[in-house]
Amino acid sequence: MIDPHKDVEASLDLNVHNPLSLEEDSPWNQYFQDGEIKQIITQDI
Amino acid sequence: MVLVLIIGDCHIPHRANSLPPQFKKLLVPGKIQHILCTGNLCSKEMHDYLKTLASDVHVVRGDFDESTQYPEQKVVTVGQFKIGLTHGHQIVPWGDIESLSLVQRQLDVDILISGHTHKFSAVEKEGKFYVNPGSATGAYNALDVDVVPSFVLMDIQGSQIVVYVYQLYKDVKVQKIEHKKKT
Repeated sequence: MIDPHKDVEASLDLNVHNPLSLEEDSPWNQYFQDGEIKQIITQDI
Repeated sequence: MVLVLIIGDCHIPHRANSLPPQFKKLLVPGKIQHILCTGNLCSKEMHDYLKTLASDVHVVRGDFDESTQYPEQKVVTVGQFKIGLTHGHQIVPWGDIESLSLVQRQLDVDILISGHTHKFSAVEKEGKFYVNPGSATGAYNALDVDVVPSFVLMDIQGSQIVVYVYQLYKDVKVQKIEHKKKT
């Protein structure tokens, strides 16, 4: 699972790298999508 | 990891008719765990809207809130942090850091959240953290008509906080501030 905190780069674009970002390539967006999938998996098990 | 939304001073419907659409687009359910509201929502609709974003909503009473259900002050514990919440019209001079630190000691909190000035600020003083999310609608206040709409999102991980500030100029500008709890 992606950890949005690990992605520590010096020149992060905060308009993409913030928890409410709607950008496709934001690690936060990826993180929330993964969380949803994980929840569905645990439901199915 | 816990996400805490800090928002307030909406003054809907008196000084603004709704949240800016740019903010509404960002605020989606399922991401935020807690909402701390500095008050002056002014309508039940706004409270209901916050309830749709997260189930845990804490509101304190502002000077324009008619609902008497809201308390004047509130202390909420999130992870390792004790967070104090107050609207701030009771604290004179408004937004003054010395007066705020008095309340911080009274409540014995690590972070004190206050509003009323409609101006974002995040200050660290003697290891304590003071956050003012500003006004989410950019409503005018008693002293200023040029208000930038803003709200704050706190990402709490262990003893560390990352504060994301969302300000609306022409588009939404995001700023990041970090704070670490001193033990």
